Amino acid sequence: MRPTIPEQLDGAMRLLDLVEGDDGLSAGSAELLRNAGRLLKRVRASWEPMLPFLVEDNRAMDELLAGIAPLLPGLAADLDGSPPDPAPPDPLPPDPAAVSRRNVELRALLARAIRELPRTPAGLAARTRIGSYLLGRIEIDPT
Amino acid sequence: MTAVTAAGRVGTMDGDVAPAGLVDRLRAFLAAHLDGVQPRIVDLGRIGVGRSRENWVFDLVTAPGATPEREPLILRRDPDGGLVETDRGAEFALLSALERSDLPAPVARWLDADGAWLGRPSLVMRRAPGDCDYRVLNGERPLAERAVLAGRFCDLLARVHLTDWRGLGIGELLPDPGAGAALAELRGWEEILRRDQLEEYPELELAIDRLRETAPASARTVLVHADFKPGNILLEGDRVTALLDWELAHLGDPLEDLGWVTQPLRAGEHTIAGTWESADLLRHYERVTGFEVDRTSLAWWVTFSTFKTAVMQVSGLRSFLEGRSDEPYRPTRGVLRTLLAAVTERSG
Repeated sequence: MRPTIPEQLDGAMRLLDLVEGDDGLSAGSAELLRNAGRLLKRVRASWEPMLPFLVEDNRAMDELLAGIAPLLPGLAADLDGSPPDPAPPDPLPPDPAAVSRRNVELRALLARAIRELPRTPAGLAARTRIGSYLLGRIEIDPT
Repeated sequence: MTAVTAAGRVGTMDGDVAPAGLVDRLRAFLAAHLDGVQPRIVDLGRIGVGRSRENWVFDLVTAPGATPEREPLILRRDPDGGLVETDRGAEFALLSALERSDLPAPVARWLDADGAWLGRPSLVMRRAPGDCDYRVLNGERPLAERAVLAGRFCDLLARVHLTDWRGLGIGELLPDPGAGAALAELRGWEEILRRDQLEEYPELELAIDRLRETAPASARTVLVHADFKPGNILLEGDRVTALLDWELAHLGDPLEDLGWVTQPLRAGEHTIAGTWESADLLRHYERVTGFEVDRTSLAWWVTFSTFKTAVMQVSGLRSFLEGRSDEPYRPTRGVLRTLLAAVTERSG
């Protein structure tokens, strides 16, 4: 369907660029305009890669949490117990809102795991695995 | 010069507009402190748009005798939302105490602690001459001049740390965390994170976990500025006329300020590649203060500085999303990457 969302974002950014070149703007208005432009650019850059990133990130966190769950009995009970499914049978595209919601839930579980991990060699090894995962996530996060 | 617009707001020098009623409120506030002398506000203008605090410069003109007196002032007014919420009363008390020191801190004139007069908590200070340039060490000036400035900034930081805070009575204003300064600061910034976070950040959780486990003991307590940077130093030519922004100042470990100025994320502000590296800064500081800088402890404070920056971004994000600020802050990739690299290295 035209205009696509990226096309509309490109259009909005083009219009903001035109106004930004207006010499009559006050310093305050120019800064507000730049901020609005920065936000649109971020949305434009992340709009398309966001869903595949979140789907893959949820899978990676499921796997990570399942790996450290034996160290955290309380957390294990809160995980849904089902192993990550690498190939969902449903051919329908995932619901972006549900995927995003799940990502927030999994990140909350991961944060809780970090707070509760024991200070044992196994706990320290789990922290190292979490650190590696988080470093890798930053590099591919399109947002 | 100010001019009343059709909307009844007051236009200022750079075209921005003072919030409705600010001039009247400011005039009434000043009059209340001037024993009946009617003040005139001249050349009101806002500087530093869109950042954490509203800064309004103006001249106060009074005519108690035959000759009008003119005093350059700056009004610092809390925003609806900023990166950090701090206490204007505490800042006013500290600045008042520092007037008895040889530090070039601003002279605090009047305080509206709860915003009863000016709508939001505000501080009126005497305006010192000069300009702030956060990139001055890597700007247009000749290298030799920039190197001298870098040394001068380090001398200034040393003077802050050598301030006789006990003698000035600052110990009665601010708590002394003693050897536990690192953990006290970590706790304080964790509280800010808990208050402002809109969702969980495992990256920051891992940082807290590692920082808590490895916090060093402080060797001494000094006055910590906590936001020391060229952007807060007023320069007139190559002369330092004032060190600004004492809102985060507290008693603590001198390594806190040193960690802030030597953190990689701020290298462009505090160092000059090949001429004034972090190692040069530390050697200079040690020579001037006589304090030995423990490099292992300093590494902790450098990581803490990055954590603090991330928390400020979390707070800024909340302010923006709640419509209290116009700056779309968020924890950035650069800050999170630097933080995680440091904490995973520390755990290795």
